[in-house]
Amino acid sequence: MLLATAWQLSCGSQSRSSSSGGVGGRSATGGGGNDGLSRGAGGGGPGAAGGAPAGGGGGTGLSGGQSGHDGTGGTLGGGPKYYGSPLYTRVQRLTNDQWQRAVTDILRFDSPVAPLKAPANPPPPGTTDFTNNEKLLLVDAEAAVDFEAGAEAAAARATGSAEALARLYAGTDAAGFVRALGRRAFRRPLTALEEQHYQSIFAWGETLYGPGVANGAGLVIRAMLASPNFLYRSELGAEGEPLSGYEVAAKLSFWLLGTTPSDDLLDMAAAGELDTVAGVEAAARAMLERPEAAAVMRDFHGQLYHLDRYAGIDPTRAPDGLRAELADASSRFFDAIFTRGESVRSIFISTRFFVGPALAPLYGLDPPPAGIEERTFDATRDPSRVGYFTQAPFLLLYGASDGESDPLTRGFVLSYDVLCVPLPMHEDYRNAVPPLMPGQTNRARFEQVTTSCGTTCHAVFLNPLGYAFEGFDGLGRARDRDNGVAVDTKGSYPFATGTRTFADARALMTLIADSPDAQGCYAKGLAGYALQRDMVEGDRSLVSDLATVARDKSLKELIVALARNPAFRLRAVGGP
Amino acid sequence: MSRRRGQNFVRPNRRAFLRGVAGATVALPFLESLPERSAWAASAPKPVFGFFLCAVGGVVRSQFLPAATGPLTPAGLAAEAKATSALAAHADKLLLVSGIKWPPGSVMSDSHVDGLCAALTGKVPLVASGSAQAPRGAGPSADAFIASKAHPDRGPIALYAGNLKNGFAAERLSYSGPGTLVPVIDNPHTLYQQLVGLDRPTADELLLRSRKSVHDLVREELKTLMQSSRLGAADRQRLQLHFDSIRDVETTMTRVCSSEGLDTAKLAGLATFKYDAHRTDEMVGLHMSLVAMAFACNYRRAASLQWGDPYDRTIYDVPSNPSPQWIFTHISHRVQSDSAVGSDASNPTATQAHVEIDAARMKTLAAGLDHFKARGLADQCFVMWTNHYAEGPSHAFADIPHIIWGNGGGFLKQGLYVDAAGATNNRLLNTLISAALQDTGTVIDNFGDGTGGLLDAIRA
Repeated sequence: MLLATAWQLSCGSQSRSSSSGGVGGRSATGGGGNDGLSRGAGGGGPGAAGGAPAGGGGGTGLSGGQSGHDGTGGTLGGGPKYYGSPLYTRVQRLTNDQWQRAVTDILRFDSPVAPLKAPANPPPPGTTDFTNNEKLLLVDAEAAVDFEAGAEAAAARATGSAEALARLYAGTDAAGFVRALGRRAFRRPLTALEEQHYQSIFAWGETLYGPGVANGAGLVIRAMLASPNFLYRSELGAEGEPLSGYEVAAKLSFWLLGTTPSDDLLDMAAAGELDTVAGVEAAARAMLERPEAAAVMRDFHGQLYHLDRYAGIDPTRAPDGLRAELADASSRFFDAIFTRGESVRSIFISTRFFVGPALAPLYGLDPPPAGIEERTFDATRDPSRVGYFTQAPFLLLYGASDGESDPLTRGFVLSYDVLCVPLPMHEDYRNAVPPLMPGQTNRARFEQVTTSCGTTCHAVFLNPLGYAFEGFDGLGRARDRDNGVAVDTKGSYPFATGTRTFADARALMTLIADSPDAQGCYAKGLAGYALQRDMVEGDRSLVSDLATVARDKSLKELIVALARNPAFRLRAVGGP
Repeated sequence: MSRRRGQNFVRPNRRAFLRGVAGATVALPFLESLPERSAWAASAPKPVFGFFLCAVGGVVRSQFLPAATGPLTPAGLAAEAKATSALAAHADKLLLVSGIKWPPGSVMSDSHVDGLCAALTGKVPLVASGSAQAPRGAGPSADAFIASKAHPDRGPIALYAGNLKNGFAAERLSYSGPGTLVPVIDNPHTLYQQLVGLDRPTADELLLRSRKSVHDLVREELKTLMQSSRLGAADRQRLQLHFDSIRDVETTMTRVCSSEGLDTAKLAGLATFKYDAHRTDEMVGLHMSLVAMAFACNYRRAASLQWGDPYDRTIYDVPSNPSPQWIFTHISHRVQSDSAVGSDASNPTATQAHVEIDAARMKTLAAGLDHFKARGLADQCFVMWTNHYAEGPSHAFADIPHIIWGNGGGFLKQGLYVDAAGATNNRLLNTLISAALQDTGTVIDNFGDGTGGLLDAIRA
């Protein structure tokens, strides 16, 4: 009863706009309380200079604290919610991954440089939720030390042999070396003054370490990789004006390939070929066919749907082999949608799935495959399975430790990650769920403890989404009876286009696939990832335009549409 | 006896150099060197440094430590009017320890030498021949042990303040192994040369200088970027954070690792220094200032200083030692003899002179500790002072006073006077060594040959 009261308070807070509470954010782990997944801290970004998000307080992501986000307008449903507070930075620091790839490429290494040691900061709950968010990418003392150590190691490797050095620059003159490396590192030609400075650094390197190109070049490499001109991708044009060709080259390349622009792309920028929408589109399309783009999209989907959480599942629920397979099968599913030119809808209605020997029993596959294989759901044997969210990995991740399903967490995650409707959730709800009584379904059990919340949260928005998956147990195995009673998967949900009823998870997935809510939510996520900032009400038009593309076009076309959009090509208006 | 390396490397003036190359002026402040960054990186386990000083001649026990054990405060310690009252300004960083006993002397029973041999080894000395000067420590000593574990390629800094060439016996404090003395430096100028790079720079020093040049350029570029009129307040703050981060890291390092605070004029004047019986404590002070810099620069992890000859000829100018002045050993003995020993009662003037010398030496120690404090080392090192025996006339190895400054990376108590109740110095050394090796994850509980385990009385 006490929990029910707390829950009610929790839900009640949803209807008020808060400027201080923690965000009941999607970075909060939606997994079962006993599955070892961490519960992300809610509320408050990292307090980046001048740009703390509106929700500055603490609170646990799944706790019943204040919702802390703005923009709900006091109502739920009706499409994605916006509650971020972007900085619209003009100097975006490279992520750790981008740094690693860029250094590897700039120095022409045939294998990656060692990753940075400083851990990437977690995304701010409830904003864009991506680790490349502008608020997370700062250079504090630890990062400065980390970048420097990485640069020193890379420089030593690049100058460690004549062959390695020759890959950077064929000549032996300081001026030529500085000019060639500088263009790659700074993603633009160096100014005359910069060339002078770096030639001085070259000479100083030879003075310190003795005569020799390697000694001068080594110090130049270290200096360039420590330079803000390398560490920050800048956009220094006037507000509302197009980015320069070099800025576009860097923005596109780091977004779609995760690395610095190639020499060819810089040549295109120099030739003015990226100054037009058509030029940007052509460059984007070329990039999307490269394997690096698939890797970037894997990262995007991994963050969007929190595929990292698989590693944190309690081993008693999923031993090592299964955990690895859960993540692998999930990533491959999203990879396939991207690389095969499918649309957002496939995420919800594709019958493709990936399965390996550890996952096979959960699907009732016998004999199991020897390795991860692509399969198609059998409409007879798996009538309810379509899309990622009816696959065993997702269902197991958000199952309960007692083997039962966890409809509240499943509903919460779906609401947050798929529909962009953040709902606060009480951290201790599991403790209030009574044991199953004979002849009682799991759904009925959960109904007991959520009825006091009324219609605002559970009855309308959260529970129905979760109950739709009652056709699957806590391990993701299909079932038609629960505790000896036929499962009840029926429900309804108030989409932006109106309330729709559904009979089961498959029907719900079909509704979601066709809903502007889910298409907009995905588009919002993609834009947030690409622009590396929170999305706000002012982005509603952009998201709406992208959602239209998302409905019928492939993910690649969606990306091209974003690259063409002024929001990507022009310097943002309204920054601080 | 100074051991100067003979290279003639001339440090280039980088500011002038940059100005001269390509006609460009890069207005960059020149800093001599930076510490090895890895030692100070926020993410890395921080090193802990250990400095062991062992003076000679004993103390006047009744006038040395506070009257009672317990917490130390600046006012309280000053009010004690004991020799250690000179350390009052450091009271909150001090750990005074009584009741420590050392291993028994060697078969030669020359306490002057034996005490030095056992001070940092925790072992009965070795005797290779029949002379009184013969005993050697059964090593390694704690300073060398720490260095071997933390900086395997570098030994400790072994220092000497006394008449290294012509003393009855000279260095007996620091050992790399049984009977193997670590070569000592007696002239502070020699260590100064090593630290400020007048000798050929080491790879680390080159790295530090090159880092500095990179930092300077990065800061210049950040300043240029911040001048862009396009940037908003948030971006300026973002870049300022980057700028400040580099500056803070470097400022911290240069504050702790620079020649600032050194009496460079005096050090430079010691190039041709010969032993002077009146300047022993002056050399101690200079040595301490250099060790503080060495630690701050992560040049070495451990150091030791033998403060005086085993039979010390130092002449202390204190009121009770008027002309013709006695050498310290004779004051300590209360008679003008190396071999004979008097008593406090038989020569109260010598006893009083010893009290005054104790106070003078504690002032020297306090001034030396000021350098460690100024470089922010209180939480990253310990400085241990002791004496090669407890009291002058008795030459006893029981209840030898120990003074520890700094918390050894949080490992040691501070602001306290404790009685170790007869614990052997092995346990004290175990504790100090373990404090110094925290970053290696090593705990040493069997150093020397005495009682094993750590000394809880001093452990935080």
